[in-house]
Amino acid sequence: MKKIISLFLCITLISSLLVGCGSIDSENGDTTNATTGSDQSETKTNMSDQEPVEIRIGFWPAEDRENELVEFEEYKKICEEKYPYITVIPDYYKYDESTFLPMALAGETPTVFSTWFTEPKKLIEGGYVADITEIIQETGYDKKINPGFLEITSKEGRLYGLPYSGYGLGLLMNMNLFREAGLVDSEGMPLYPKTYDELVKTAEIITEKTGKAGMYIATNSNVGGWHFTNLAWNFGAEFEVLEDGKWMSNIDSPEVIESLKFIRSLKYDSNVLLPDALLAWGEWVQNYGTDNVGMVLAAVDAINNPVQQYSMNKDAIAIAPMPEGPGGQYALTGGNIYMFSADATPEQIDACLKFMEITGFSPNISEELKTSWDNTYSTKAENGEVVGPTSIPVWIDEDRVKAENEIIEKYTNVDMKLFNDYFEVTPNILKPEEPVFTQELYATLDDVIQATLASPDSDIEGIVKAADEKFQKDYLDTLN
Amino acid sequence: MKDLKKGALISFKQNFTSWLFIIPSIILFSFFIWHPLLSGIRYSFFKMNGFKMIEFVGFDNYINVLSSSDFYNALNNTFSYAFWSIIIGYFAPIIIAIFLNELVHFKGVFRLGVYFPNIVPGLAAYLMWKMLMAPGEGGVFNTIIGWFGLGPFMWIQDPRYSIPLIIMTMTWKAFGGAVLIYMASLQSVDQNLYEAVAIDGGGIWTKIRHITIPKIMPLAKMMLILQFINVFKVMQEPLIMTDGGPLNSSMSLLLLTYKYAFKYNKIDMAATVGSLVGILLFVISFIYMKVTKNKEA
Repeated sequence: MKKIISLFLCITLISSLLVGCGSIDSENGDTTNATTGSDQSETKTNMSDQEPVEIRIGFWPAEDRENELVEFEEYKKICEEKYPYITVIPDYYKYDESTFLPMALAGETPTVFSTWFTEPKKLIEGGYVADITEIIQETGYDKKINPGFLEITSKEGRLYGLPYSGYGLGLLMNMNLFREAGLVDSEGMPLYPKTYDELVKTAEIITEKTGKAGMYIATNSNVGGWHFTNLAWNFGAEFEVLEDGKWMSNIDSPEVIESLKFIRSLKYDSNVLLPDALLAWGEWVQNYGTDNVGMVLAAVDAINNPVQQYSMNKDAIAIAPMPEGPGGQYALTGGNIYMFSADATPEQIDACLKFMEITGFSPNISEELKTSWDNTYSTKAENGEVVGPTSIPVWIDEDRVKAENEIIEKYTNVDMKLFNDYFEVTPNILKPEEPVFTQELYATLDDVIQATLASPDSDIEGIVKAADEKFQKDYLDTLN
Repeated sequence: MKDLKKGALISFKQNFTSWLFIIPSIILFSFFIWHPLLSGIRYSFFKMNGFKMIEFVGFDNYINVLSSSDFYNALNNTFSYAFWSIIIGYFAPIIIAIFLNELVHFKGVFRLGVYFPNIVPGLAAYLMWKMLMAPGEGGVFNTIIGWFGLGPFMWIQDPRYSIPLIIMTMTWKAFGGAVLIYMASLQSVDQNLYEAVAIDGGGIWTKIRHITIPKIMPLAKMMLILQFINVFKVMQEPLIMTDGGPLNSSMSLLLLTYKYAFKYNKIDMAATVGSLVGILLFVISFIYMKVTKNKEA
């Protein structure tokens, strides 16, 4: 009897363990119990000839974005009414390089998700995203998207993603500090720096008049390297060069040395930087959002971060184009892309495109789309977010861009004069990131910046020489 | 040989029920520990694309890792972490445990107080310390020492102090657990021994030197190697507080593994560093066991 009871207990334990593991549908990567609307889809199948399709939307708003959630629930309803064979499953996923790989390996990637311009190369090479060439050719989207952006999501003539917003780095200004420092004209517009000499003077005035840091120079978590490449390009630097088919590091160059001397002088001669040695993304949002920094390199896509996280007054935000340096004027390109799970079937991708069209992602103009744009921007305005400054247009068709802009204008809640120069200049000075081992280059440059800023007498020549050799040996030589 | 097999079979039959109970644990262990462990070792011999094995490359990954300056810097730092953890974090729980054991009143309150930081989630605790140690005149610590005319200091953002200060926060966070273990051991000391010392005219130091310390010695030896192994695997703390900086001064081996794997998508390099850490820890533990065993003999 004892044995039988033991056996029963053991079997229960083992079976509960196996049940806990669950099963994964290899076809679409969904866990079988994840579907809440499966009953509905079955009913709908009877109404349609189409095979039922389930799509998991990864760019669903987060739980705390109440107004957007209501809006997306509405999109889901419209989509499922219009296409009864589609079941939309909300699956909020904020792209993060440290969580993506394990998720992809577990077959848990949402059918469609949003990521950044820096990621496609890695995701395509890893085989984590679907090839969408044929399906996009059928829709004709490929002919209607800015080819420069489309190139970022392509490899060897095949297309893997759809860019939906693009931007270039600019000079973000805190108008509270600009006003306090008297750096505004008679109309209240910022007297922003157009050259690097002017940038030093502006930062000095801010620090002198307000006691706050005039300029933010990032130093850590690859953000330092990312910002610095853009700054150094304007001094004429080029970090990676292709010589006779071989990639060569060019960190050890007079232009890079000049740029480093510039940021060291900001710290020790002008005293306009924050005292911290480790400054990355979160720190700029915090210091800028709490009026502790006058200027920072950032793009227009990030202007809502200080508003949402630190309740910054949206009227205190302004952005100017990157200042012109002795080597030219460039703005590093960035942006966001929709990509599809490698497990997604063509039917699922098609269904995702249909859902995305309802949310407003489409090259076309229709009354339905206009309603959708209207919803999007009115919700943003209700949330107290900045509405008005948009990304660099993804779609080529000017009428399409104009139609959306008309709706944006309706809800614009900031003075666009604070943004106009950025939008006028930036699209003409865009420059893509350095082509190979980009993140590794940024990490190397973080060290270079930290070492440079460590002391007023730092041996910049020695620092760049060592970094150049290390980057060449550890990374570029592996390609040659 | 045949007898041996037969014996094993009989033993298995006798313990059949026990084996059945162990099966779920074995499944869990193989799935969550052994399989990833062996996969990691396997990956270190392959060229990887994401988590896909492309081709067998023998010891190439090991050669790449061992010829990279990042590895030696992280290795050096990791030993530095272990060194400082012994200096700062090893004796603190022993002293506190002895102190608490001698307490007559409010023992429970102090015990809770000591253990409390353990309950705080790591992320919150380390972010809090990061904020307390913010450089500049506005930092909390700098404000306090500013009242005495000192500072401001860079704290963890000074490459010379980043490791000792991270260890200090780790000790604050984790030493309560060790205190409880030592206290449990001290509770089991026969009170008659203390009374005997008292009768012989011995004071508190005699009690501690001749009874308490010998009693907790075997445990302390085990805790030393456990602490060494735990600190050798430090990753979360520098990731949150410094991201390995400044100047890579707080980059540990496992943080390097994390960066290889998730930031640069180099699973092969990450697996190789992971395997090397495993080998290192095995060798160090082995030597330690040998040395302490010989001494005991």
